[in-house]
Amino acid sequence: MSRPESGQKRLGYSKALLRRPAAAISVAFLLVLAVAAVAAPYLAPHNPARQSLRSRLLPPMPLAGSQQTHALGTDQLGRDVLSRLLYGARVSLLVGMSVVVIAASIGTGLGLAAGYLGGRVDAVLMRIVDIFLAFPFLLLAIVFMATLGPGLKNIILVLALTGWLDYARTVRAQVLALRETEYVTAAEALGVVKSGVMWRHIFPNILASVIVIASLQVGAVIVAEASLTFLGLGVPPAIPTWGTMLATGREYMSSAWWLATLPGVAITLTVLAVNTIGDWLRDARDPYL
Amino acid sequence: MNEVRKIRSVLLLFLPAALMLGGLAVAQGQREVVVGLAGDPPGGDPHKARGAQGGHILFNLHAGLVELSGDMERVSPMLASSWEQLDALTWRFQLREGLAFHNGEPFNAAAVEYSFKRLMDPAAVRLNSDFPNFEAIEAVGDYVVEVRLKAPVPSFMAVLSGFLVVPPQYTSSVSEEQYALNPVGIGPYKFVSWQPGQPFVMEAFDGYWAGRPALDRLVFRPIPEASTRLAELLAGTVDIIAAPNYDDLKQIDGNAATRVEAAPGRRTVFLNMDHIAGLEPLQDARVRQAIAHAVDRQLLIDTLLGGYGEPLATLWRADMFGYDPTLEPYAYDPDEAMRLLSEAGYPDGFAVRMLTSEIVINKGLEVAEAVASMLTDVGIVTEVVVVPDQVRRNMYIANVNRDHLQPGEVEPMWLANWGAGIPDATSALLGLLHTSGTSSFTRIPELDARIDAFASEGDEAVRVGMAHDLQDYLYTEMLQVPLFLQSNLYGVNERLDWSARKDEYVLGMDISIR
Amino acid sequence: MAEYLAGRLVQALLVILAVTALAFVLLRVVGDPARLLMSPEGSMADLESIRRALGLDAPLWLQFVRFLKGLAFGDVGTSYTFGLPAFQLVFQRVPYTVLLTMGALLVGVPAGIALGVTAAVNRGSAVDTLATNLAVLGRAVPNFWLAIILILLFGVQLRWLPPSGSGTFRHLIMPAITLATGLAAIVARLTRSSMLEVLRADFVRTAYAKGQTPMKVVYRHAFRNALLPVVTIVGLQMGHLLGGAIITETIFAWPGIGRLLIQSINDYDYPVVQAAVLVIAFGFVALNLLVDLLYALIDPRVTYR
Repeated sequence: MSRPESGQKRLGYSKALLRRPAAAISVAFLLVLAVAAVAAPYLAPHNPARQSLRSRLLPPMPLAGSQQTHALGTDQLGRDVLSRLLYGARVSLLVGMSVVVIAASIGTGLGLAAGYLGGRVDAVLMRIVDIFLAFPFLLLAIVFMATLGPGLKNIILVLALTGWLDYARTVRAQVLALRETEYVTAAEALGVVKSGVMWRHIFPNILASVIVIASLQVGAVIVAEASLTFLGLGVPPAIPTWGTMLATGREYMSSAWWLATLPGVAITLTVLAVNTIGDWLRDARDPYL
Repeated sequence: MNEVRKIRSVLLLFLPAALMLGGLAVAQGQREVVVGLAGDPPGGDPHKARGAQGGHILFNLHAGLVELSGDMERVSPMLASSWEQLDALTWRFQLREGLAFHNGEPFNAAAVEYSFKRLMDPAAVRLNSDFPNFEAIEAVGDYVVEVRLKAPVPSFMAVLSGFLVVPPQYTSSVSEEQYALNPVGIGPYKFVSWQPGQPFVMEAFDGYWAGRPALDRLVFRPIPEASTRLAELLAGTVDIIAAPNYDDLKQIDGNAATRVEAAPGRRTVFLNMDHIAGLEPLQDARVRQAIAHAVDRQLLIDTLLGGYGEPLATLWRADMFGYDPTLEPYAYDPDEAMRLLSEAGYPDGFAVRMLTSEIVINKGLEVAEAVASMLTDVGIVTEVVVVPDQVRRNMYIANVNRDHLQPGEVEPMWLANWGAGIPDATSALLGLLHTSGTSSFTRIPELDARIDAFASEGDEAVRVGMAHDLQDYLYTEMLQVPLFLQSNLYGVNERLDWSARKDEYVLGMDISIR
Repeated sequence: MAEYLAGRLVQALLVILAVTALAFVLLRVVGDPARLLMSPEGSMADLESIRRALGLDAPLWLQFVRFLKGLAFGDVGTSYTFGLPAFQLVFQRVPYTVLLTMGALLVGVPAGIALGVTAAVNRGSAVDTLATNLAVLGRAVPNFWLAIILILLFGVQLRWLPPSGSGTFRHLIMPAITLATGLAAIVARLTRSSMLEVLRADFVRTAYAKGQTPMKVVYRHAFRNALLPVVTIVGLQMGHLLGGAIITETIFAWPGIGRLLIQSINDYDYPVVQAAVLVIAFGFVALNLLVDLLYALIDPRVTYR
């Protein structure tokens, strides 16, 4: 658990990947998704914002009434669903990753500080974590959106603001355990300054579990963004995201089931893939688990 | 395993509670109708803010001196059997004798006087702003009341129909909170049970002046999600649902056991604009006319609104006093729109932001997006900004700072609706266009004077002329760009005879079981 | 122990107080409830009189002092929308929220444990992959999609269950299942890893060496010890669920705290928001405290070493 990273370890990852076809498929899926997201402007058959009220709610192929030009049908304003899914992948993945990067940085930093410095710093930081946990997320989100205005940046901020708690708690617990290990006490005995110990000796050892939490969070964030849209706090409509497509599509479950279901499937597959990779990372890191 | 067992035993403790909660059990053979509403009514107090759902409750529980018909066109006797106008500012009403409230308290002129005093109590949060220029309602005999006005009230009888009476002894003996949980009225239905979030249950009042209602029980259930309301209707567990999704109407009509009921509504939908510190191009009437020409109203109605709705020429509804039917809604004409833009000095168009919320109107998001796309097509590149509805209302209703806003503090254009409860344009003119109006972002002294004159004119013939002049003005100036009149839509179980009303309310007296 | 407990109680109280104060300040930033209460046909004078009637015309610090004073007597004010005491409105919702939480636990925890144990015992095999993915699926499927599908299937097509509302046990089933999926996923995950850890512990190996059957080992020894971290996470999750499952409650028209919270936020009904925040924070902190105490009292290493 507390061994430092090494080159041998990295070799282990690729071997483990080959032994786990589910993980291999997941990695492949995410790669394809990433490429599709980046290349959306070239891959999308239509402008995702282009409306055509006269051909709205077309079903996807091969259902009766579908059109070849709109392989996955059209939405309530006649926009091409496939194009919106492709562009949506961009924003959803961007939101997911930005939130995770911000949350992981804040959470890890504070977790390190709390666990390693201990004492009053620890007490204060952990009470802040408690306050955030006990505070209704919705109220926080609404206050933010009401004061800062709607927008992608603010959504990322709101989601990151509550996303860091998991990291802080986990990292702190790990640091508390690591602090007692021989090489940390040895480093301290040799007179290495606190920040040095933290970055050189403790940080590399908690990195793996941070990555595992992060892999789990990407999916959670994509779903959370849909929830925000459900509450009227979502991203501006000009920007298609899976979350907004899902949340606005739910009103059409009886009349055009594909509108909510297709982005729902995209989200589910992505979350499955990311989680599978997260599991694999953890297993590869610790062969016992 | 111990933990699991413990959890299980805790749960068993809660099961009886689960079975007792709610209390929806209905006695056999009762004629009950369940109505699914989109939100919670605020309660049964007729003198407090009603919100969007309150009317359903209040006009079943309570009654007023007179009644406004479902299409808002006729006023008929209710608790008053007859009336006469004594002079321009005084009316006298003869009340029905021998009536009693739900609790047996006698109804008389004193009860009416008490109710009006309670309504106008300045120390409490009341609905009194709906009764401007009312001086007093006083008992002048056991069963005679006089209504005195400070100034003429346009469509006075229609306004008066919103005034509901409460029993004085009971109401003054309980706290406001107790009244809210146990309202007593004199309407066709009496209160049975309610808690916020729970169904509002009423039952027939045997002593109703016009005879016992046909239904035994009337239940209003808050069901916020439209898909869920539809499911309840299709499952037969709810008889009437309010505000179904437009795209579900076909399914409701196609299902053998249900049908769609629709009536022209009272909500006019329009694009409002900031004329105080708004975007410069929007200060030019030609640009606003261009916007009016750029929107294909009929296409919006035929597609997004399921075919329900009527294009509007101005904010004047057809049922409003002095409506001018000769004014046609602006034709959809993108070429004319672009010509007008060039003429105004914007041949390449301009960019503008348009604010909306999901519930400002039905399908507030989709309508805004479709309109934005139509405007973009003629060169007015429109970005839609979506906010929660309460944020929208805080920006545009009673914004005390609106004369000193920083640029960008409110968006220059926004989707809005106005749902006058009476067939008169006065409230819309005062609220939306007069300098003193709480929703007004317009500052035109000359227009203020014309609105004031229209609001206080007692002579109907003169008033019609003023109404036509005002409509001409609004039609040319396009201070707000009118879109359409929203229809009131419901899904109804076929076992009911019922048709939708203009005032949006679902009233037990209108319903019968086939 | 007593000292530890006292310290934790003081900290818990501070957290609740901080959350309450934070809510108070943040609420005043978002908007003006008087504007929402006013009839659109009213005048600016009406707006002022509403403000006065609600006490919103006082300076912020005075409002806060009044609020604290009321709080000391257990009164955070009267709902602007419903005209009823805010605490009463919130407490009236508590049984529903507790019921829904319990329902979700009853479905989610056994399902999660079963999946987790199955995955751990069959580690690395196809069964493991299947069970693990099934659990992740619960987390990956968005709640409102699942909720509507359940309603359409069991409420409309099959007519087995009432589509929405509350009142009977049958009303509870679909919302509980909707919430249980996410819970089951987390429990399954944790059960799996904690089972794996326990399975390689000395006492389990000893049990095997003594010749006990695998089934017996798993259930008598491994499972009991693996359960403790699961209890911890269930406690935390319970805290979240008690805070209100807004989306599930909205779609199923379930009158829980979450729906009251969103309604009162949408109406800027300050007293109700304040009361709801207080109750939610209290529930969360109390549960956390309970879980911590439970953990400190029965640490498996203490019991079995």
